[in-house]
Amino acid sequence: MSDAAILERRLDRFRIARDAERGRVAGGPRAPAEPAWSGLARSADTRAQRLAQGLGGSRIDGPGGGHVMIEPAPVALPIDRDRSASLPGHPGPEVKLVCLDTETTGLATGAGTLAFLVGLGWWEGDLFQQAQLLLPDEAGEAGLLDALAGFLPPDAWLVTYNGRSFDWPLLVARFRMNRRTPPRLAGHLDLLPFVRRIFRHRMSDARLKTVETELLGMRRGHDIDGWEIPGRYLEMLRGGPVEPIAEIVRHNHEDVLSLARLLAHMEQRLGAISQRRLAPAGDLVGLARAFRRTGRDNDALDCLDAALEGPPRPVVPAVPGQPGREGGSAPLRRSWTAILTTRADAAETGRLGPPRLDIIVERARLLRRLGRHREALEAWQEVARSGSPDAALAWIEVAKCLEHRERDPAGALGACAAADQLARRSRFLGRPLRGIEADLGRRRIRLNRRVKASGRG
Amino acid sequence: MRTYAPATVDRVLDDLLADPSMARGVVHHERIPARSARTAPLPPWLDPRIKRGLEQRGITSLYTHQAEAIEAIHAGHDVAIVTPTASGKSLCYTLPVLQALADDRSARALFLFPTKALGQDQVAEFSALAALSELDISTATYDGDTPAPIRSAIRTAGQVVVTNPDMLHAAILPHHTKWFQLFEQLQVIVVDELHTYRGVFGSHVANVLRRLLRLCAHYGSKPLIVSCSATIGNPLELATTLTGRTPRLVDRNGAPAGERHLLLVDPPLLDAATGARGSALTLANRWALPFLRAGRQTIVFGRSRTSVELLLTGLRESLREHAGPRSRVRGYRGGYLPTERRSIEQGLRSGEVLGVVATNALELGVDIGRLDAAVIAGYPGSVAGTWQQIGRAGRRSGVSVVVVIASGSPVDQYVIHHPEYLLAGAPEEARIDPDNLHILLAHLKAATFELPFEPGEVFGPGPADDLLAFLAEEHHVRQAGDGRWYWSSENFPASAISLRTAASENVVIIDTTPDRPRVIGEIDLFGAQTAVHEDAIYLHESTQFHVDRLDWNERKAYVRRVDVDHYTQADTAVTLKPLDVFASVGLPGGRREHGEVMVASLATIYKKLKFITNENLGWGRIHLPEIELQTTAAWLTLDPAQVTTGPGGSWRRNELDIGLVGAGRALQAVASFLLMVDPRDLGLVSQVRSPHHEAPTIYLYETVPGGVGLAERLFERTDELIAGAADLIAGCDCDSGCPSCTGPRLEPGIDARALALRLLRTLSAASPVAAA
Repeated sequence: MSDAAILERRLDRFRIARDAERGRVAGGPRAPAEPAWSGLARSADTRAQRLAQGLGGSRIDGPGGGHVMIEPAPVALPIDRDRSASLPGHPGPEVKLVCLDTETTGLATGAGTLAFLVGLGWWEGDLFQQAQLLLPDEAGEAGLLDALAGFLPPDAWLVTYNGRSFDWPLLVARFRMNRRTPPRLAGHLDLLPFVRRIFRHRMSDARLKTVETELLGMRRGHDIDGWEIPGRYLEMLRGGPVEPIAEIVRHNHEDVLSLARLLAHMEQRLGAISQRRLAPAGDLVGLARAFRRTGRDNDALDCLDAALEGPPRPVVPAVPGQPGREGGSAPLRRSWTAILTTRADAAETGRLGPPRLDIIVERARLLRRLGRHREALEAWQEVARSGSPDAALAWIEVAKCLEHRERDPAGALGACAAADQLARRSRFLGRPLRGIEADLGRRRIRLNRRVKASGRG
Repeated sequence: MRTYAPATVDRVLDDLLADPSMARGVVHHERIPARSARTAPLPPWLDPRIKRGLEQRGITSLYTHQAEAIEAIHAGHDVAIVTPTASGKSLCYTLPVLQALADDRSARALFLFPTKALGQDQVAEFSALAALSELDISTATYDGDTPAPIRSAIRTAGQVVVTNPDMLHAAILPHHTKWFQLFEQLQVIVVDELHTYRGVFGSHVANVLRRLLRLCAHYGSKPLIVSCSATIGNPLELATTLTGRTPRLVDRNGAPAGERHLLLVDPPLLDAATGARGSALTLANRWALPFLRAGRQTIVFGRSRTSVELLLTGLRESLREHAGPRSRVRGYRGGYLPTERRSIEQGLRSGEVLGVVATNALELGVDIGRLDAAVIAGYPGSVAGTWQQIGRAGRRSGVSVVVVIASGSPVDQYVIHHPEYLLAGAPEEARIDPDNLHILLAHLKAATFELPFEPGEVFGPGPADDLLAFLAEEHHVRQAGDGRWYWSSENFPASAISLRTAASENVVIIDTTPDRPRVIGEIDLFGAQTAVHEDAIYLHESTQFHVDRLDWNERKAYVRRVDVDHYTQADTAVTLKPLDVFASVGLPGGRREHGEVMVASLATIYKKLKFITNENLGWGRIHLPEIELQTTAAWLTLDPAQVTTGPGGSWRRNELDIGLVGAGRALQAVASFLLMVDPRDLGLVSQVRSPHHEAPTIYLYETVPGGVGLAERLFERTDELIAGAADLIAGCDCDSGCPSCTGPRLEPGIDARALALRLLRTLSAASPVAAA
């Protein structure tokens, strides 16, 4: 008996065993799977036809049955690109921005995950235009990718949400799978890191949907859950209904639109310096970090100054069941130390403590980097006197400034003594600050020597 | 008496053999004469930089096998190199790869090693030679320990990527688009330690290679495959089945060797009635000690972590009694930290470490230099493995000694009394079946995920369409409008496949010893019922674990590290029914057949058995459901006429039963030897009157679902199998059957040996000589 023949018989028994295990009645080897692929090809064709009709799209012919392109009506969504360009990591006003979001057959980024729907959006004046490329059958992928490449001119920037680690690498893989060179991008603006850095502190999570509800103050109507998407699409490929695809297309359309809205929101709230200063302190701190990452230290400092000096600001748009973190009602969960320091600080300034002190620490570091040592010293002194958990560290920074910049070893020694006192108290409470203790040991020996030397001199 | 009295190896050996209590156990003493090197010049086409690099290593010519392999690779042939340990195998592929990279900087090579440690050693060696050759080559290990930032650098710029099959399977192939530079330019694939790719693991790796070559074709590269193997009976066949291509075999060793004495030692039989034997460990200790005392570097191999500890303690105590520096004898086994291992290896090379007691963790190509003596306590399970351990002793010049000490197991006994198997070419074969349906289908899923299948595209034995249609029924794949088969599921198939088990449904073994429990392995359901039932002692990498809880529904076994002096053995009630006969051939006294069978197995009780003595320490019940296994088997049927009128008269039923069991046990032992598998990989069922054949039948079935090709080969080698089993039984010096030949006594007063022998001889029509 040939190997192939044995394999065939074994496969038959394998099938029987499997079917039996599933509790299905299996009398013998099943009839061979649906014959020939001409029938399947026809159904792919039908699918394309029905999708195009149902979604108001057009069929684009191409190898393997082509794809469907849907062009939703443009919406007015003005954006001030000059202001947008002033934000960290954003491209200049002349650069074309193409928003992109994909729907895929899975979350694994391996070679077997397909991007079956690619949503694109771009501005033409104040109008936001969109196009969606949908695959009625795997066979049409190469054509879809070629069409996609046409939407991505080499000087354009891509705008995505988590696209740096998911959508774009996945598309690159699809191009490679189809033996095509992936399109070159002039740049890629992934908005997820911005949301994480700037807004996440007042959001329940960083999903795009949450951005819509908690940041943009809007609510989608009925929307499909992300986890349902691959199953619905794969089911349609297997001959299931095409109707559920409409919901996926709508979902994708909303996602792309939200990218544009988020860009506009950021530009409006944070683009202009005068407007920016009214933003919640937490946002400003995050924005300051984003500026620092791009080397724009002066802009970062401005954000921190604004966060500290600005007038009492309104509570962040309230989210049901979630009190705002700024002003008004107290956050639900606070650590014990946070409560202690808040009280101390609040008495002084009438405003919230812990973020404020954190901001001052951050500002002090930034000032040191900018070489503005006198102001840095003042900032450190403010933290040091607050008695916050960072006070011991701040006293050491004060000591450093006094010793190296102000040439005041005696003053530095005094700062060390204050730090030492805090460290002792912390040790007494069972939370020794080992790093600070070690630092203080060395520092005080050196300072004592210098004080003596200067005394003799 | 002085602890250390330097003496030559010759002298120590002479003294030992002069001691009658030691000499008595030696069943064979072979003196393998010294062999001088056969060399060939470096190939003229070799890049002068590489030549200079080699010269700095003191290499100005090649051994003949190296030259032969290198020329064949240079000419564009796949090559399989089969020469003993430490014969310079790795140079056979490092030189062509260096040359390829010297010619073309964009060329890539992929080195596959079965274990991580081995890969790391080879990277170091390869990089060193590349550096000496002043070639700027980026060589990198890509395994589970590679940090994420470095991974992307390796993907884009690694010229030589060193990895293992598991990593290739789960991390590289499914993400091939990130590795396109590697796949586009891949020129050489090196598969080292080929002989370790056998059984289930080898069957998986063959499919991983199918997937690899399929992707290479997609990217337009046509890499050569160079494989290296220890000496086995069928290297060419294994390489061919594993890679799906026929390589040139290079097996004429040109490396020199000093004179070597090989002694096979059988512990004395203590009780001819029960078959109890002296301890291999005690003997190993007595053989190793004089060499250590004489200041000769010696390695002692134990089979398990426990035996290593026992040997180590014994040797240290003996040496300390006489104030010897005890740290000069060290242990070396799985579970030691890499730094510990490196320091021991270093100590051995420098001579600071005098003796080492090791498990087979040291079996593979780790470089420890050559030692004066090796003492092997217990047959390591394969001739190839034995030679790898033997290869640890033997300087290029000067005399070395190897002592192989058998345990009481039938396989050990069979080997020790057949020195010709150890000495004259290995009869054992590495078997794989890449077309095992469970394995093939699993990899077909992974392959579809990686790249859609064209209609009619061949994967393994033929066009994959039928198999793909089967997968389509389960909604794993789908045939698209262009006729191609696409992956059609949200799952990531590679993550569901373990290269160490055949079935898709496995029991996961979880070690609860550390603070954060971790998964240490998987076992198929059939194996699980006997290996990880509650209160079983489970051995993993020579470490003992106690099974605290087996959650059968969740398929999880919770184990805890222990150190005990016993192991457990489960009994099963097994029924077997043939489903299909693939081939059937007559024997003088019956038939031999092979085919597919359904085995139903119910684990009943387990016994606690003491190490070494196998003394029974207690037992317990196992409460698990019956498990069905569809697998392949080979079987022997006795012609019913022989039962009534055969030579030696008619058989009584209980005699026939005992004869079948005894012959079956011996057949099982010999089969496991011939096919290089653990005896537990082959199940035994004997039926006095098989319902299927209506005749007495002995079945040997594969315990892996679907089998890995053992049964077919057993069918083909039936004659050898019967002759070997008869030999094993006839050669045993027990009275009437013992665990070393026909298995534990079933009924007192009945001569199991004679009955089993009579049965085997009836089958093969050998002259019915009465048992000695």
